[in-house]
Amino acid sequence: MKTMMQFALAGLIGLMTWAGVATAADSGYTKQKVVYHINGDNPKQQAGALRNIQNHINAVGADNLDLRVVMHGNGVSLVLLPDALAQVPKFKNANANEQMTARIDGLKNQGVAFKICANTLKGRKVNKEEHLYDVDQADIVPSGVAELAHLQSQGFTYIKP
Amino acid sequence: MSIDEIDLNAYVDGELSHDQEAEVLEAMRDNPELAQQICQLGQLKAQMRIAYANPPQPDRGSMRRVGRSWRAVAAGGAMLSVGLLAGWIMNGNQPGTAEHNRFVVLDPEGRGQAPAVAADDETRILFHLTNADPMVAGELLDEVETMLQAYEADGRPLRVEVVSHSDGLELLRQSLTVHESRIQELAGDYDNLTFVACKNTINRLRVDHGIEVQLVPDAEVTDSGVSHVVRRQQQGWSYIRV
Amino acid sequence: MRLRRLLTYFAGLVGLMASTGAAQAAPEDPLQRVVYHIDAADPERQRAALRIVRNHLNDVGDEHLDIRVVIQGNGVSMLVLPDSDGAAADALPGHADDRVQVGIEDLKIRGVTFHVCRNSLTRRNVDALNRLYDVGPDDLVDSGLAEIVRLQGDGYTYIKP
Repeated sequence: MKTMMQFALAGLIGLMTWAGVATAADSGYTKQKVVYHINGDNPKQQAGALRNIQNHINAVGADNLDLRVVMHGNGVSLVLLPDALAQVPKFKNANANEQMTARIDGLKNQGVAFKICANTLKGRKVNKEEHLYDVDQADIVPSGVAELAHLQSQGFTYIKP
Repeated sequence: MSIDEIDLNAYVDGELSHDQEAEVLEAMRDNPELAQQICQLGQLKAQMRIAYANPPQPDRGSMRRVGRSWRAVAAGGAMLSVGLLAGWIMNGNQPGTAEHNRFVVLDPEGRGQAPAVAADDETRILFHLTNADPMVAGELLDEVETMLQAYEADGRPLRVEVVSHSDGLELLRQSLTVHESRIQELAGDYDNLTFVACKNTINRLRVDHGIEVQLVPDAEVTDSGVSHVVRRQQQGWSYIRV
Repeated sequence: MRLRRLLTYFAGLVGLMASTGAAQAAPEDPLQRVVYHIDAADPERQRAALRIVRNHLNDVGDEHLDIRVVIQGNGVSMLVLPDSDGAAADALPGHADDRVQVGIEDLKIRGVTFHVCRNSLTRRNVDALNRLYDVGPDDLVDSGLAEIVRLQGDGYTYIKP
């Protein structure tokens, strides 16, 4: 009888744990892994995307977020310095002005990682030291699209702002 | 290969080679009964494993009682985790947990879906195109070609689908696309690349605008573009909105 | 002997739990959970999004779908009434005309839930609910994007129409 009680108890505890886990996930924001995809060069949209990310951090809390931004194609214009535009004719916009870089810095300070596509840099003859704002080797990924796919397979949620 | 019960058991036990596993998955896709059979087999085996891991012991008197009840609790706990795991898996299907999911999940058509264990080996990417801009489509084709080339050069398996609906359908409309020859070349060079057109969009153009859409020869048609996008994601494909 | 009986009993319980879980994913009653992301400013794209959701319901069947629509960024103009009182000259253009209202109403009747980003409303000075079409306090979320991520964590598939 004692054994049966123990069984029942174990079952009950299990059920309660299950229910508890389910409600915890429903009630608020748990730890989130998110990747934002930027491939357009409209400065307004890019600024909007960065603002979205800030709002996202405000809503969820920086501690609860592992947030990456992946840029490729025209999206690299986000970190392209205006002075460099003449040297990289494949870009129509260079949006890394003071306002934009201040936003980028703010997000980096809150743990956001910005990843840039090496294919794009190579194809458009971009020199990351000369032409880009605050990009080092660790920020470069071989392919932006492959990175997006990889992160999704690692449990990151995809958002196209 | 024709799939018999031995193959099914081997599949559920994870004993098949990658190629054989792929064949079983292919067969499941076409045969919902098979998929369900495998699903049930998986559950049964999990329960059996636990039961056999904790065989009932003969009664050895009161001295052993403490030990035995501990074993009972352990067995209970183990059984419980099977229940929890099964429940979690059956309810699951969340992105991010999919890669650990070795069980078969059934899609709305009742077709078996590949458990995303292939994720580590094969990269599967769905590009969702809703934009009519030929520049955007051109960049997409560049992107796709670069990927296909790189993966082929490294010998890494890759599958790519370009799903176009709404305004994005223009890419695949013979009268409107500026990329017809490019599409033909790419589709000819890479059999792991598929262009998919949305039938809903085609029907809407006919009903609302009296347009009979002619697609480029390499386009395949799906009933609903969005349903296809959902299905692919549930199967573990990565989603990229162009 | 008693242990074996207990094990059988417990196996039954486990089986019951498993089958309860299985019932929700059984092929006869599959529920597709989908989150749609609307952030486009263009009224045509907004109407197209509503149409795509409607088509999706027609294809899969209302009873097989749990659809959430998250409206965020410039997408909120879809809910702003065209002739709302107090609209300043430079205010956000209201796209909630008859067609949009009918479209939204139809989807709501068919079980679609709308979530509206409070940040986006506030930023555009349209957070007074009487300027919006059929948006109540319960329809608001602090961050539309965080909500999208949360829903994806709960098993919803993301689509940006």
